[in-house]
Amino acid sequence: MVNNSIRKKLTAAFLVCILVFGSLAAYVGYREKLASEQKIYRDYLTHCSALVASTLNDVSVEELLVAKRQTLYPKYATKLENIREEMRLKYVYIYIPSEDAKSLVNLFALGMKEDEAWKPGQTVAADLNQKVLDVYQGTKKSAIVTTTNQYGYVLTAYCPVYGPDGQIQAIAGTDLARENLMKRFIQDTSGSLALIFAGCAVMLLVLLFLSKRLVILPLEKLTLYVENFVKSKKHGGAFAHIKVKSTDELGRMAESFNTMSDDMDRYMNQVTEMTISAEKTNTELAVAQKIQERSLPDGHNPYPDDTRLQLFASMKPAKQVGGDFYDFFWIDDLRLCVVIGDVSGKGITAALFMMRAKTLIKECVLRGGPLSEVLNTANLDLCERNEEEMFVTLFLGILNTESGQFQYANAGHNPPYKGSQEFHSMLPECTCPLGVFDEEEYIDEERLLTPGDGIFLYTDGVTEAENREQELFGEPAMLTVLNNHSKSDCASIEASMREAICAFTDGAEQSDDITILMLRFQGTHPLIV
Amino acid sequence: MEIKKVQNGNKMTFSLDGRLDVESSPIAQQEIAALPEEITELVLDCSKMEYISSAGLRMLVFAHKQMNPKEGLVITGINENVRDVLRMTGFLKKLHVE
Repeated sequence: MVNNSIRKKLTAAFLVCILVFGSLAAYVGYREKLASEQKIYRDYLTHCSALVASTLNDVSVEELLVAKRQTLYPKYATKLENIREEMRLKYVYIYIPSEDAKSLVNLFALGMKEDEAWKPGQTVAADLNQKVLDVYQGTKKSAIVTTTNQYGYVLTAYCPVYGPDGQIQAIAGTDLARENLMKRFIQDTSGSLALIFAGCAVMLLVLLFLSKRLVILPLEKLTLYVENFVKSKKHGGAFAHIKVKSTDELGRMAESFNTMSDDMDRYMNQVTEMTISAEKTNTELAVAQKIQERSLPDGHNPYPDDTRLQLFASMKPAKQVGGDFYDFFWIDDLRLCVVIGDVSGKGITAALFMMRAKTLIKECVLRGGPLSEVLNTANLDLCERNEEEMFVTLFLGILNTESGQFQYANAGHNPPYKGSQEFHSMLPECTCPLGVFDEEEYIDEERLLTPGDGIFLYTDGVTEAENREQELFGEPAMLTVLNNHSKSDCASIEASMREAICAFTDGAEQSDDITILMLRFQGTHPLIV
Repeated sequence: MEIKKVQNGNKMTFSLDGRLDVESSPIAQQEIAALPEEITELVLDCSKMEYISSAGLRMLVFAHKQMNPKEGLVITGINENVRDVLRMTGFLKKLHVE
C-alpha cells in the first residue's frame, strides 16, 4: 500500500533508533553500575579483612599455634567464625606466606568443608600472588585479588596482621564468592534494565502516536486534497481549499498549495480568456481579410479581348492583414482609371478605412474634374473624424486608351515605374497621404504613353519584402525584374515579380500585403509581343 | 527597438534605436501619448533608426499632431533611406526635419 509506506518506514526507523538507544543505555548503565558495585565490594572486603587482621593484634601467632593451641586458639577461631558469619564472607583465613610464595603456613581457615579444611600449622603448597607478598612485606597496606580456582570465582582482600610487637606476623584474607556477587548484581540491575526497555517501548509508542498525529495524518489529508485537486482539474469541478490549522511546515505547505491552486485557477482563466480573445482577433482578421479581398475587382487579365490595353492586378495579403488595395474601372468608353493604395495600420479598422477610401475615390473620379481635386476632396473627407490617425498612400491615374495620355496624381504613394524596354520611376511631386493634413494640396501630372509603354504600380510590400535577415527586397531588385521581363505580358511580369520576391524571402513570413498592378498601353494598333 | 529618453526642462529627447515598424511603433506612440503636460518640445533623434515602415509614419503623424499646438516636434539624424520615405510621402516638408 502506497499510502502506508511512510508510516511503515517511520515505525521501522523509530524501532531501530530506540533499540540502539536502549541497548547503549543498558550497556553504559551496566558498566557504571558494575564499576561502582565492585568498588563498594572491594572496600567492604578490605574492611572485613582489616577487621579480621585486627582480631589477632593482641596475640602472637606462634604462641597460638604452639603454647596456647588448646586454650586460646579455639576462642580466636570462634571469634573469627563469628566475623565470617556476620560479614557473610565465604572464607576467612590467616596464614604466613613462604618467601618464595610457593607455600604457606596455615593459622586459621574458616568456611572450608570439614574434610578439605586446612589444619592449624599445616604447610600448604600454593601459588601465592605477588600482591600477597607485598602486603606481608609491608610495601602495601592491602590488596584485592581475583582468582578462579577449585573454590570458584573468588574476590579476596588481604591485610597484614600486626602482632603485639607491632610487626607483621601473618596475612589475613577474606573471600567473597563472585557468583553471589554477580547474582546479586543481576538481581539489582535487571529491574533497571526492564525499566530502560519499558521506557523505550513507551517512547516508541509516543513517537508513533506523535508522528501519526503531526505528520502522517496531515500528509494523508494533503495527499487526498492533491488527488482531489487533480481530479477536479481533470473534470473541471471546483476545488475546495484545504482547511489549515497548524503553522508548521505541513501547514505552510497546505497554505502554499491553496495559493498555488488559486494561482492555477487564475492562470487557467487567463489562458481561457486569452484563447477567446485570440479567437476573436483571428475572426476579426478573417473578416478584415474578406472585406479587403471582396472589395477588389478580379485583376487577372480582366480585359482579354481589349486590344488597346493589357492589365493584370493582384494583392497577396499578409497574415496580419494590412490595408493594401487596388482598383480599376472605366470612366467612359475611352478612359480607364487605375488606383493603388496602402492604408497604414492593420486589422479591421484598416480594412474599413480602405473601403471608405476606395469608395470615396471612385465616387469622386466618376463625378469628374481634375485628379488633384479628387484627391483634395477625398483627403478632406478622410481627415474628418479620423481619431485613429489612419492614413492612406494612394496613386491615381487615368489612361486615355486612344491618345495614350496618362493623367495622374499621387498622395504619398511609392511612385510607379514606366517604360517599354527600360523602366524608370515616375518621380512625382511629393505630397502627403490622404487623411493626415486637411490643408494638403494635391497636384495634377501627366505623361504621354506610346504604344507598348507599361506602367507598374506597386505597394511597399514589394520593395520592403523581408528575408529572414530582415533585409529588404528593394527597388533595384524590383527594377531588374521589370527590365528583364519588359517584353512579357502583364500577367507574366506580375508572376515573375512574385517569384523573385518569393526566392528572396525564402520562406520568411510575409510581413505586409504585396500588391501589384501592371498596365500596358497598346494603342489602337496592338503590338505583337 | 530601444527608446532612450532624456528630459531637459520642457524639452524631451527620444533616441530611437532600431526599426520603427509595426511592432515598435505602438510602443513609441504610447510613450509619446504619455508625455507629461509640461513637455512642449519633442525631439526624435533618429540617428540610430535603420528603417521606418508605414506604421512608423503613422507614429510620426501622431507625434506631430500631439506636439503641434505646442512648440512642436523635431526630427533629427535620419538616414538616407528614411529621408527617401519621408520625401516620397510628403512628410519631409510637413514635418520639422533637421
